Parts: sequence; C-alpha cells; structure tokens
Amino acid sequence: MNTSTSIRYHFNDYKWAIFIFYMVLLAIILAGSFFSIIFHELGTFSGVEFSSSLFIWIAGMNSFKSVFLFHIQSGSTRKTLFKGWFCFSALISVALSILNTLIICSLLAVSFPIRSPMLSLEIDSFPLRVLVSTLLNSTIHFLLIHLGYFISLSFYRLGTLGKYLLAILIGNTAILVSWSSKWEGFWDTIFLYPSQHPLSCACLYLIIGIFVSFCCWLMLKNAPCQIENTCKDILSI
Amino acid sequence: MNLNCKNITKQFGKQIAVDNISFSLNEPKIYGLLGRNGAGKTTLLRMIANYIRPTQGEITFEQKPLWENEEAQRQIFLATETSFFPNLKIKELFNWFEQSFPNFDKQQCLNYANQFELDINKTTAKLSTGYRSVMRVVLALSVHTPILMLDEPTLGMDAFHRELFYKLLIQNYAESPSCILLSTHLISEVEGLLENVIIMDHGKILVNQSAEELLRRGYCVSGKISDVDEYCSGKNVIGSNVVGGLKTSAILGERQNCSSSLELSSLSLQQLFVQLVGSENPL
Repeated sequence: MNTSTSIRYHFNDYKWAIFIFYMVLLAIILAGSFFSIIFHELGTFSGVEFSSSLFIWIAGMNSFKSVFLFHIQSGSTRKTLFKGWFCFSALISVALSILNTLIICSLLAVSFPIRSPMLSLEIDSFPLRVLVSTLLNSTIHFLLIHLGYFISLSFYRLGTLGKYLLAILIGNTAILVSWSSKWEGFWDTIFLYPSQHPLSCACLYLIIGIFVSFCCWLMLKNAPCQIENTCKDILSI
Repeated sequence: MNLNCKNITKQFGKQIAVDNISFSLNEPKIYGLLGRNGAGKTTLLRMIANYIRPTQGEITFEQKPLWENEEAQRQIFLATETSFFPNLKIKELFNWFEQSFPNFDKQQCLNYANQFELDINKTTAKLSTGYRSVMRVVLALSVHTPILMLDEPTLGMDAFHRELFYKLLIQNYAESPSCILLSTHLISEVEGLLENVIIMDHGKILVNQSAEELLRRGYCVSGKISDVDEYCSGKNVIGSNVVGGLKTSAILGERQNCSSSLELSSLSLQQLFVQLVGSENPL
C-alpha cells in the first residue's frame, strides 16, 4: 500500500461517519427551525463548530488500531501509514471546516438565527472573517484529531498497567480542571483569545498539532502488530 | 529473492519465543515450518512479515534490512489465523488488495472465491471460522508475492475445502513458483507438498533440510525387544514404543542390514516429527 492508497483508505474509513454526522446536524437544525415556527419562539442556534470539533476528536480516537493492522497486513510500512494519516488528517480538518463555514454562511443568508465564533472575530471585512475563521477551525480540527489519535495510540502501545494509569490521569485531570474555580478565568481567556487573535491561535494550534503528531510517530515507528494486547507491564513492546 | 535471518531472537518479557535462529530462503520452494504449540513458528513468521521486530539479530531481504522496508514488504504476504480484516464486503477487500500488492490478480481471486463458494457480497464479520480461512487462502493464492507465508491456512475448513486449497496451491506454484512457507499441524496432509522442512522446538530450529533427505535418514525397526535393542545399539534412536513383547524404535541414520526377525519400515514425516520433538536426542 502506498501513501495515496493509504489516504484513500482513511477517507473510505471516515466517509459514512462524516455523512451521518452532518445529516444529524442538519436534521437538528431543521427540527429546531420547525419547532421555532410552530411555537413562535425565536431562539438561536449554535454549536456547529463545537460539535464538529468534538466529532473529529472522537473520530481521531477511533482511527488507529484497525487501520494500523490492515496497513501492516497489506504490505505497508508504519512510515507509509503515518504519511497517509498525516495527509488525510490535514485534508479532513480543512474539509470539515469548509463544510461548517458553508452551513453557517447558508443559514446566515436565509436569516436563520445562528450564532458562531466566526461572528465574534474582530475583523471588519466579512469575506476575510470567513476565511480566517475557516483557517482557525481547520487548525482546531487538526489539533483535536491528532490528540484523539495520540490517546488511541497510547492505549495501543501501553500495557494493561499503563492503560489504567493513562485513564486515571486523563479522568482526574478533567475532573480537577472542571471543579477548580481557579481555572474559570483561565478557560474564559482561552475561549475569548482566538476571537481577538485568530491567526496567532491558528499558528499555535497548528504547531501543537504537529508536535502531537510527531509524538504519535515516535510511538508508531516500532509499534507491534497485534490483535490482543495481554502485556501486564506499563509498556507493550 | 533472498531472505536471510541471522541470529534472530524474540523475547516477550522473560519468555524467549525465538532463540537465536538463522536460516535463509533463497529459492522458490514449498517449505514446511513445523513445530509443537509454542515452538515459535508464528512469532518467526510475524517477524518476517514486519509485524513485530526481533529483540536481537537481523532479517534482511536482498541484503537490505527488512524492518520498515517498503519495497520488501510488498513482496511478502502472511496469512495467519489472527489476520485482521476490516468489516468490509469481501469484494471491496479484494479491491484494496489490488491497490496494495502490485501482482494481485483480482480476476483469479474472484475465480478462486467462486470455486470455494465464497459469497463476495458478504462482509468479513459475517463469515464463519471456516470461511474466514477460505477468504485468507483466496487472498493468499492471488497476491503472487515472491514470499508467501501461510500460518495454519486450513483452520476450520472442511475436508473438501482443504483438498481444494492444496490442489490450487500446487497449481499456483507450478504456474508461478515462489517461496511458500507453510506452517501447519496437519503434517500428514501436507507431507506430499513439502520440498523443505524446518522443524522448530522451544524457539530453536531442530531440522532444516529437504523433505526427501530427512525422510531418507529416518526409519523404523520393529521386532522382539531384545533383537531391537541389539540392532539399535550405537545408533541414533529418537524414540521407542513398546507394546507387549514387541518394540518399535525410530532411528535417524542410514538404513543398515538387519536380521530376518526384524522389520524395517519408513517413517512418515508426522512420525518423524513426533519422534524428533519428543526425543531426548534430537538431530
């Protein structure tokens, strides 16, 4: 399997998930419109970018094992798999971002009451705002898909004990962050910053995404091809 | 085509699965890779197929390291019981294989699927154990890689499918000779196919020679216990069996004349294998 075949394989793996995701999203938008007309209540709709970010993070977490096993068994090397994955992740990040932009702009064009972080960007020119927003969302998607892939790959490489440790670390970090009031100001800044400095944030997310991707390569390059991991140690070799 | 394994060892924690073995695959032949459960056969095959990396030693293909060698990996195919196939329709799987292996013959693959009565519109997840094996062998017979490794290819297959597989394997080999490494426990079924035999035991290679030579070097002698013991003195006895007052001993070495009270017979490969891996004096 060469790199182009690998990219096509990754697309084939994702196509139905993406299709169903956007069908559900559009169904929710239509349902929302219908009920607002019925009940004469003009609410606002938001969360297109957030839901696609969540989707791509979870998709990244489910992208590794089966694809890896099939690649190795099809005469591919780990390097080819990684190149295919990297190119695919960049393409899908941009594609989802463009889709989101098209949906939001279409809804705005029909005066649908939609809210989006794109509208809060401090850029006067609307076309430029759309472009910058698309770029920013692309880098967010890129970062998140690689974070998901990193988690999935870590679980694959770790032995039983390592899996427990990682799960405890991720779970407790999330709980600590959400409970501590000290983090509230931090999270407010994190979410407001991109609207004020979108290009800087896009660069930052891209750099972090590439770094996470590099960490994934370090774990992948010697990864064994195995269906079941019964190693009880921290690391499975 | 030159695959060379030099001093390779594979260790999983404290367990040594493959222990410092060396061998080469240089010419198109059907090799039998035989061994008891846990001998290290599958581990060896997985190392050659780039699934896992040796702990020590090196595997080279055409004098270049095999690990992560893209060119080499397209020339090697392993079909094993634990082969993973995504939940696709079988005909879609054939399409992906066509794009992955340069010599994959899709039309031939469809013909084989037809002969095995494999429904290519089914998804891989819905196949029975036997038909999963059928799918693996159909793919294996169609990839036409210079090195083809089959690990328990007939697992779960009925007798008809097994016979059909052996027939197609020979036909395929005759049309386009390649290096086939066949690992199986059904030694009596494949004995007639094998040109070379590699026997592994506890991670080491016990035997690596042509099937003809190996079978020529082993024979059985049967008769009264005292007569057999007298005949066997000074010979390489690899196993004995006593039933009542009669004894049968398996000997490795050239046949020698014996008295009329003794009977000499050939050892089958399976008998030879059982005696070798259970013997205190292996060859």
